Amino acid sequence: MSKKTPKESFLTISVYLTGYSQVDLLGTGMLDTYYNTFVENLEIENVTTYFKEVDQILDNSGNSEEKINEGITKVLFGSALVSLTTNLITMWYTGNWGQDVISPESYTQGLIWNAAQAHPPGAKQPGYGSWADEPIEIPTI
Amino acid sequence: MEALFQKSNSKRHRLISNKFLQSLNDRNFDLLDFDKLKENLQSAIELEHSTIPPYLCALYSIKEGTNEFAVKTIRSIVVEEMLHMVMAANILNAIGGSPAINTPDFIPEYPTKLPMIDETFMVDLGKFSKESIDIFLQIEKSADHKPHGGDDYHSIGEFYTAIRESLILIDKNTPGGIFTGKPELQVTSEQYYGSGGKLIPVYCLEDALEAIEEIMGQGEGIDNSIYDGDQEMFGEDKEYAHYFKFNEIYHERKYSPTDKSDDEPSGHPINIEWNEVYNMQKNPKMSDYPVGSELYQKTYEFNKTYMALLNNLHDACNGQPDMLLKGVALMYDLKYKALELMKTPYEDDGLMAGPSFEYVN
Repeated sequence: MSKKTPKESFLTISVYLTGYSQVDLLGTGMLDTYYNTFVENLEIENVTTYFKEVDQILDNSGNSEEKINEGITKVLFGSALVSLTTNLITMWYTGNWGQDVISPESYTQGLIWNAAQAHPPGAKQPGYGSWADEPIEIPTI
Repeated sequence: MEALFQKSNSKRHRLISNKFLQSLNDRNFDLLDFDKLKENLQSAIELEHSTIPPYLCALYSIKEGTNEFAVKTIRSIVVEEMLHMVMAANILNAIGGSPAINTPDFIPEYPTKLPMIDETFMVDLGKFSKESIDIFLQIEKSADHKPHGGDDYHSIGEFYTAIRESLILIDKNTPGGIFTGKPELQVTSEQYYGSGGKLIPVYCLEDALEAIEEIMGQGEGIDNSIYDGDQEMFGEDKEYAHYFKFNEIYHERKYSPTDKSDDEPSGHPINIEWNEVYNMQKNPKMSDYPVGSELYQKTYEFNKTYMALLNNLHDACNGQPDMLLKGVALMYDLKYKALELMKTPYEDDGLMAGPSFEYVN
């Protein structure tokens, strides 16, 4: 139905799996790396199967978030695919694939730091002495 | 050459300003108008600020781990521009004015002309490129490098020369002098930890003149020397003025010690990778995106952070100097938000989004 590339499907489903917006995910600059990591670490049949299921969920949802989440729970968290799905989520949040750090960038770009309103130790520093102040909160809308 | 590097060098004063002062007299510039002087100092703050967003865009657009020389150079220049801005505010505070740093028209709309400077070139928000460095060279160029004429100031240095002469004259002609501002309004080096340059608090005319020297020296160089004068400070390496730093990047070559200010740099080659940048679209605006779209929201959040920083600087320059240090966390946050935008594709033409530096409520 849709003419999405696998990478586009990967991005779209990642939005639902991570809870971060598409722009948030693109803003990490890690889409290509993570997509490649995902594809390279799987057998080709598994890749094909995974994206077939993802596309089916997205295409049959009629853009209903509820339906997409339903499909995710049933299929992507089903016994056959759950380990791939958790790996994918872990990858966005920690920059790791399994136990391995994917790259120096992936470590700093992990969503975990945003989620915790923290910063990756040794990188993305918030400035000398800033630990004495409360985290910055800038109200938006 | 070495004598000319020195601060408070009267010969240098004369060299820079005589020709220009003559032209000020020719056009009946009222150096004795105290209100005009305050206005000009406010404009000086705006002028210094107007260079910061373009420099930051170029700096942030460089991909991590590449263009080390350019990154270091542009970062040091941005820091100095911010110091200039604060020093201009210090001078204004010292004569009883009040700097306004967070008003709606404080941020220029890019592409923009430089405030107060009568030159035709427009300054963009854009990625690091040969084209943008060329514009930066024009920003920092001293008037001696280009033809004169017209009614306005033709370089940042000329503008400051007018301010300096005005300060001297009005102070001399006012009983008790004009440096009557509250000393506690001054932002001092205690509120700033060093990344080059220095922050001069202003309590009297001499301080004001020193601050102006520092600003002019760092921008255009002193007497057409390529050095900025800071190297006298203990332990500092010889620092080039901004114009010459940009010129090294532009020509991908360092100056050699014997180069004169009119020469192209002839020293060691520098590794500049013009392609190792995020391809940020020029002069992005929130209005480029549908209201409420993710990119609109991200850009808005960036602008909110920028406003928080301007508010912070405003407070720092209006009685709460300690706020300057607190602003550091905002500056880092601003960078990370800008980078997120630069990594996000804008439409399908290979261009990326970018920080728009717009006033928001």
